[in-house]
Amino acid sequence: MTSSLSRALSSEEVARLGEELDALKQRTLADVGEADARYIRRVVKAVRYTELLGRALLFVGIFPPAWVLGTLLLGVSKILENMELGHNVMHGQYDWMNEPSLNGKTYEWDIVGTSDMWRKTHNYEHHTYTNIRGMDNDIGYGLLRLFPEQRWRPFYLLQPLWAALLALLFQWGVAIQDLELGKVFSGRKSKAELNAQWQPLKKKIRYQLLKDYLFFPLLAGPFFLTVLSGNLVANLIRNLWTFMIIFCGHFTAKAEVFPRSVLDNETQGHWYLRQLRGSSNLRGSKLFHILSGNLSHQIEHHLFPTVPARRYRELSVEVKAICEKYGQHYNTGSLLSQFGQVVYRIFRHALPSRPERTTALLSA
Amino acid sequence: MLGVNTEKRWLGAIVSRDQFDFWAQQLGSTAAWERCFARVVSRCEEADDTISLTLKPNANFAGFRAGQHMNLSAIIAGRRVTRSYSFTGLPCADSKQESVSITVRRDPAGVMSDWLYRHAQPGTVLEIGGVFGEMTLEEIQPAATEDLVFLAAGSGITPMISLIKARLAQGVSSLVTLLYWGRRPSAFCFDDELNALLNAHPNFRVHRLTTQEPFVGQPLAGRIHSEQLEQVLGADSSAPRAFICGNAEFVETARQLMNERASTCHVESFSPPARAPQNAVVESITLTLRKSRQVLTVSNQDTLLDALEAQGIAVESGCRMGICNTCTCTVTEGQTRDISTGQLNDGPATRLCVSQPVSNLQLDL
Ligand SMILES: Cc1cc2nc3c(=O)[nH]c(=O)nc-3n(C[C@H](O)[C@H](O)[C@H](O)COP(=O)(O)OP(=O)(O)OC[C@H]3O[C@@H](n4cnc5c(N)ncnc54)[C@H](O)[C@@H]3O)c2cc1C
Ligand code: FES
Repeated sequence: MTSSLSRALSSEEVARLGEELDALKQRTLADVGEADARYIRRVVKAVRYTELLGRALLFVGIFPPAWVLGTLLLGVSKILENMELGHNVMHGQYDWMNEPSLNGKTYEWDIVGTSDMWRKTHNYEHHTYTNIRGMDNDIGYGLLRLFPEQRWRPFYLLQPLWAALLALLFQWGVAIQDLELGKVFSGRKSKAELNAQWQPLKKKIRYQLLKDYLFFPLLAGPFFLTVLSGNLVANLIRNLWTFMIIFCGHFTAKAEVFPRSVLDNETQGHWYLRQLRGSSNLRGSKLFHILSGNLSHQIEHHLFPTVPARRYRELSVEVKAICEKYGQHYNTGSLLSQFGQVVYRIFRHALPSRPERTTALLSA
Repeated sequence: MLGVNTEKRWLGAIVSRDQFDFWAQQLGSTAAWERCFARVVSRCEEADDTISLTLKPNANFAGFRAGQHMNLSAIIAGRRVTRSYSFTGLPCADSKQESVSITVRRDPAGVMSDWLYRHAQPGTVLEIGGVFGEMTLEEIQPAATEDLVFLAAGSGITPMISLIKARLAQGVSSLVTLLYWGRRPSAFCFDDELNALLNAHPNFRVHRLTTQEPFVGQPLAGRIHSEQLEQVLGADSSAPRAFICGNAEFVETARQLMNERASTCHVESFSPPARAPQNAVVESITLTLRKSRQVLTVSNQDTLLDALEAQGIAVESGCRMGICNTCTCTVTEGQTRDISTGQLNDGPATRLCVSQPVSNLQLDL
């Protein structure tokens, strides 16, 4: 859209930027300990108790206020579990605790997608190749054209509709992302490969669907439908919320995409710079940050994905200072303004558009 | 058994393993889906700086054999810390009724033993991981006529007391001899139990040997040496089978001294053996973690376990001295050296706690 607000850096500057960010990370990790453990255990507690309360209220959901409150609580529980707990634990942020239930490699979250697929598409692909066209599938999830650099096709004309559907069904989008159905249809991926991926996913989907739409409703006996509808709406609330937070992380007006060529000889410093230019933050209250899984600090998350997310707030002060020092734009704003920019992108790039000149990462 | 599994299947449809464990804990129970939590039911001062704890494990405990040890974990300053401790009692016929005893000698500079000494009280919940150890009568199968001699130093008594009880319970009439070194009279554990065994079994002998302060009216026995062994064992007619346990230094000396007297020596060391030659030239090694797709730079002077932990990568570990296999991991590319032997590792399965990299490595982590 607009040209970058950041200036191009020399190789030496990039190297120094990398060193400063590395040092900041080491300092923070050295301080991680008991307080962080206590915090994540409190989050687990909040997830479990809100879920219990929500489900209990839905059992008496025949009274409308109980249904509304129960649904909201269950929605909040799922949001907290997916974002502040699951997402962060799967990044290995709490692996140092040696606690099997908080182990990033084995954690399984309350969503139809499997954790194993997520660890691949998100932890590896998205975090390593952030905002690189053709490598980071999170750019539009193969469904949307969010940057003028993406090639326009008539399919995108209806993308406001596709985006709305993706938002409503976001957990399904995440679940099937790694199946790369597009590749299967075009014959670039074999049925056997697809089937190997489908089996564990099928199991997870069945578990999730039976739990929320059969077993819990059955437990409620005559109130089968009130529980079922509550669970459905709770999942929906979670879908909309996560869609909104995640889209604000990389698709605001000033967020940049990169061509594959940035990877040629990419140093640690470059990688940091690319994370910084491709991510955007959200301002808000403490509760808002927690409910976003601290992805409201997307910049800090992308710079330091293995540092416990509750640290991002304090880290942001120093990251901002480093950005200023190196003339880099620190992309942040209110949810309203950032999401507004995302929505604008969805509408604008449904139509053909041409990239503007952006500032290169490196000065020639 | 069938009942439990069917219940679990149904329950598993609406609660996950972690949810189950969470609510059990909230309700004050040690029950768990698979993990084995254990509650401390009693604590007593056993000797100087040494406590004994009795633990009641939950139904997931799979039992143990006399002479074995377990990985015990406690949450200390937010981290789950794991160390090995030996079972000091005899296994119970019905594993559902089992309670297990351990004796912990405090190392004031140590993480776990100091924490247990200061904080473990009735009610404290700990976690039992795997149970390990080949120094058991079931494994060794000593003949009924064979004399056994146990040499223990300090907290090395812990697996010995259990083995002695097990041997005497076999009702054999061959000799069972315990040589037990401690710093001072107040440092010896299990006085009552040993005395009771002495009264009940005429074929059992105990020699307590002091190394710093003697028993009243007796000379200082001193650290293990040849004449001590001659005095105690010299008159015996046949070469006994020896069991040796203590710190690395004691175990090494005792093994050398017993080699000529004993038919066989079985040893267990509680501390890492003196580290064999390290990689002579200090080098940086590129360490690739295959599954988590990370690339790290480590020194060839550190064990892989230390190096990974220093970079914030958590690896399951237990004894940290190459005994329990908890940290074992597949090396998919490259060469490592076992620092307890100084030899290059030949197979891909590598115990990270006693291995140093020799070349660039890829691990299946
Ligand atoms: C098979 C087996 C059975 C055992 N059974 C028993 C038993 O029944 N009873 C019992 O009391 N113990 C037993 N032990 C020993 C026990 O597992 C622990 O090693 C012991 O309790 C000390 O643990 P810790 O956490 O307190 O000390 P650690 O924190 O592990 O430290 C041990 C010592 O090393 C020093 N140290 C730690 N890190 C470093 C470093 N980086 N550089 C230099 N020095 C360092 C510390 O100062 C301390 O003195 C057994 C061990 C094994 C292997
Ligand atoms: S931790 Fe026990 S073998 Fe390595």
